[in-house]
Amino acid sequence: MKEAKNAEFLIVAGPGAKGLDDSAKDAAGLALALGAKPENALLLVLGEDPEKAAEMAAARFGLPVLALAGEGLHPAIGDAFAAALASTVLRVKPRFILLAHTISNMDVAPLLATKLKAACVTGVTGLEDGESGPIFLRPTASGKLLARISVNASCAVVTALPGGFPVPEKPSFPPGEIFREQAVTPGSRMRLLEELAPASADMGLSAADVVVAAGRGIGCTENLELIERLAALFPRSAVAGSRPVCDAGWLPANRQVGVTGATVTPKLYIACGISGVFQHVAGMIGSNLIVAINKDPGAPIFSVAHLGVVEDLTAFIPAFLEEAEKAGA
Amino acid sequence: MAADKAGFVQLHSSGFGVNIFVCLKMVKDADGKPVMDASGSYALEEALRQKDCLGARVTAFCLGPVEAGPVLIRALAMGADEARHIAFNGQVQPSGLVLARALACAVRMEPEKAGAFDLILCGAASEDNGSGRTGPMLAGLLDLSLAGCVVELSHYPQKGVVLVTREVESGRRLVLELDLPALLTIQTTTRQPRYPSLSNLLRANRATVPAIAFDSLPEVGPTETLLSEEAPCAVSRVEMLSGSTAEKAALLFKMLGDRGFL
Repeated sequence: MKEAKNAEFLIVAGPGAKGLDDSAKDAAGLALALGAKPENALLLVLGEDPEKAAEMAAARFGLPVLALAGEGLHPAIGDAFAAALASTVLRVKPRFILLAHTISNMDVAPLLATKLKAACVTGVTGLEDGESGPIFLRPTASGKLLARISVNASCAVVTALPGGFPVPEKPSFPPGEIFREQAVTPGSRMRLLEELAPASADMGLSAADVVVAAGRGIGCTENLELIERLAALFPRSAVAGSRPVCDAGWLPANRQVGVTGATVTPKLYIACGISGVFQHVAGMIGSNLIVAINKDPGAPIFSVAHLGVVEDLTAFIPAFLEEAEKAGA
Repeated sequence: MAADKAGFVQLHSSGFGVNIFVCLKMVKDADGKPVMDASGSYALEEALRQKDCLGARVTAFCLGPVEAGPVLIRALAMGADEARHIAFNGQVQPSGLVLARALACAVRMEPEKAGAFDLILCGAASEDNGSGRTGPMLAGLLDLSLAGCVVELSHYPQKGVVLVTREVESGRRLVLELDLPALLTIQTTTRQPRYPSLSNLLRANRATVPAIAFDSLPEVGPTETLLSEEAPCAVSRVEMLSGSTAEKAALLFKMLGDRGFL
């Protein structure tokens, strides 16, 4: 039986709700941007039943795929997942191990890097060419700064944020060969007891044409009234919030937009006092028209918005409401 | 999943009390003053809840420059029993494996009985660097079971397990059981970190926080180098409106009207 051979790039993916987890394209995109090709890359799909995901990956990315099946292989069971990865790494000897920056991989990537004594760079959004290798770009200071990081080790574990490295719709290579192996699953000191669906997402959010979202910039619950009055100007609208606003109890959790909340794609998204960290942006980047109101001109939200207003929302929203009143809206 | 409300100290299987270590970080606030990084404060709050319920002993660790002292004092003022400052003198704050190794050394320096911890709690990702690596790396170095982005935990020291709820994408929640000792990274939640009580504040201000010199710890070369950290060149599609507040409001109103929203 043919065995998966050495590869400079090892891409890690897993099964998801519809076969291959959607986040696989983030890891694959980063690998392709670094120079991955069928000759030097291997895409590893691990799980209890990785077959369908492996077939989808081979077709979607045109790279060789190793489907590694094993009982108890779930990215949330970080120790077993990292151990299964580590044993593949020892055989394949990659220079780069690429994963999507999912919440589970936030555990797995650094854990794996520690076991391998490899470098670890997380949440990468861009790349540059450097003298001795690639330079990884990642946002810091809640997205206000961009750090440039080089690696000083023979192996680096890198996680990619969504959207940084798009994969062409039509793969550049024909469907990859699929290798299949059984993982020797090590024991784990963790047990997954239950998976709970999210507390019911507010139906109003996903059906709304217009979402008006409040961030920490609203300052206090009293200013929520401004958000509500602004939303009331538009038909089929809903009020949403960033995580800090929901953590503070100013809005209920089912109004949260972001990675751990709802993903919305309304026709209009008005972000009020929202700084624009990636965790929030991930939940609204698909909106048709994004308007951002923030008193900080350096807020990262302005790099995703279509229309930007540098104003304190407590002054701007009343001015906007006054315009609406004048127009008889 | 409410934690047990024991009301008395539950003895860990080692016969010593329940021990929880918390890793904190110093960041600078808008005025440049040293403050406790927010993500770590949620981890500390969770540890203090364990102290309230189980009588756990809480020790806070912080690797930072000399000016990070207030972070440890704040930890004590919030109710931590002990604090340890790994004092760093250099230019670039250690991060990644260098930081995790220093924390691991500090943890191992704790006296034998007190060093038998049940849980290490860290923030999920700091406000400044936000790489989220420290907790998992520390778990790897100390060979602990690990769960990140925990929003709820129930600690059963006598059974040797901790039950956690991790919040993952789209708000799905995973309930996991981990063998102790475990390292958990704590996500921000509606349980806001507590304010210092007056009595703890007075006690904290009188406390001496033992310092461990970072330079005295075994050296390890960094596996990554930070080349630069600057505001990104704004290459974006945004059209910034200009004018007075009223002018911008009128302009935005017209633009949204033209697009059929109003």
